[in-house]
Amino acid sequence: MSQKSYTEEIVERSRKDSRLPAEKFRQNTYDLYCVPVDVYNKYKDEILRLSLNYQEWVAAGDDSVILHRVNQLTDIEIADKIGLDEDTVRRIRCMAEWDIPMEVWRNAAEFKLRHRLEKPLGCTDRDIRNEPS
Amino acid sequence: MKEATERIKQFALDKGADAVGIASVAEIKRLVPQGYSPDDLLKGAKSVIVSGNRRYTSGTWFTSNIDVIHRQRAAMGGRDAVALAVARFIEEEYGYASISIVPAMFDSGINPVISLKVLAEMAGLGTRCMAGGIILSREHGLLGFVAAITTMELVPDRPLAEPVCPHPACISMWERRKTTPCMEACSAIGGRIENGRLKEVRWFRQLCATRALTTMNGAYIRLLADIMDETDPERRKYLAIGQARRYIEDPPGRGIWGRCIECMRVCPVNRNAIKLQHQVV
Repeated sequence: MSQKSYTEEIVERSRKDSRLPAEKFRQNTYDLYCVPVDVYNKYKDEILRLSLNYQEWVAAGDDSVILHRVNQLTDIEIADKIGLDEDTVRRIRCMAEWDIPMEVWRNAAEFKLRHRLEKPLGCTDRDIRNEPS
Repeated sequence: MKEATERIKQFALDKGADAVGIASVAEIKRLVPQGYSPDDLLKGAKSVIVSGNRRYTSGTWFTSNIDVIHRQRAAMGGRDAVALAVARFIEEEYGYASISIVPAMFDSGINPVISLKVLAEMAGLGTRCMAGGIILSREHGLLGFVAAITTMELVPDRPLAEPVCPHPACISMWERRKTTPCMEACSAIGGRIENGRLKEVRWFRQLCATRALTTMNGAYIRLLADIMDETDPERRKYLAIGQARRYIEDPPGRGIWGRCIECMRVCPVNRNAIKLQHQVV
């Protein structure tokens, strides 16, 4: 009869099926999903600028932007450009995408409120009360 | 092949689509990075049927109440059903493998598995506009897109030859003041017009996202970090249940997206389309 607890059995089976190398097991939760804070701080803004979080279409010559690929890069393309591996770039991007000061959300609600009140364009002048401000 | 193409398009229209177009996978591959083509999702994919639905009734554009806007959009959830219906129709009627693609299918973070904008553009349903590269239709204005990817070879539509954006009124505004209505409305949008054509389009997705997703669960996740950082128990409690609590009122799965339409509300192309469709003033 197995000496393993039910939880140990589940963990062991999950490791077998994941096919990850042994060094990937027994990590703490932070290391499972995140990169070291210093690495994150060093690359965060560069990755945001290079990824789809900032998008640019620039037309060459007499052309217009129709049917031009957006200038931004995939995670693997960013990894090649800045010398990191793809998984590290993805972890940094996914952390950075929500790492914006809370004030920006408050400002977003204020922007919508004021824009609608100042430029009603046929809108009613009722105050927006269903968003935080 | 032509007859099947027309039959499938008519089926999508009958299911509620406002506009339908077909894009060729071979053509799409020229425009997308490796890993983001339809045949990266369905091996052997040949065609993509893209359908667009108007997001709102005309009257919706005139309300200032954000939540009312979003209940309107939720009521149009039938749009996603069009993609699934088309995919099933092709499999049942013609025997070709098909899958449906709807918004909010994420690859990682907030990157999509495939660009519905590119699919719509290649299916001739509209062209890029200054406002964040949204695909704008001259007839329908702002559309919400879904798609069905299939291994069936269909007759593709061509991308539109003439751009929908910029509108003549925007060209005139740019010549006078070096801005456009959408740019003036929202600083997430930037760009340049030259000789009546879009020469450069820039978009800060982060700024747009916080406006479009003000009360989405992602915003609450961001707030959670600040709640945990607060050391005073009273202040922590009120941070969690105070005005900021509104951030949790759109739990995951309710699909409340796009709470901001300010760029489109001032867009002359979109405003004309609203009037044409519904004869409203």
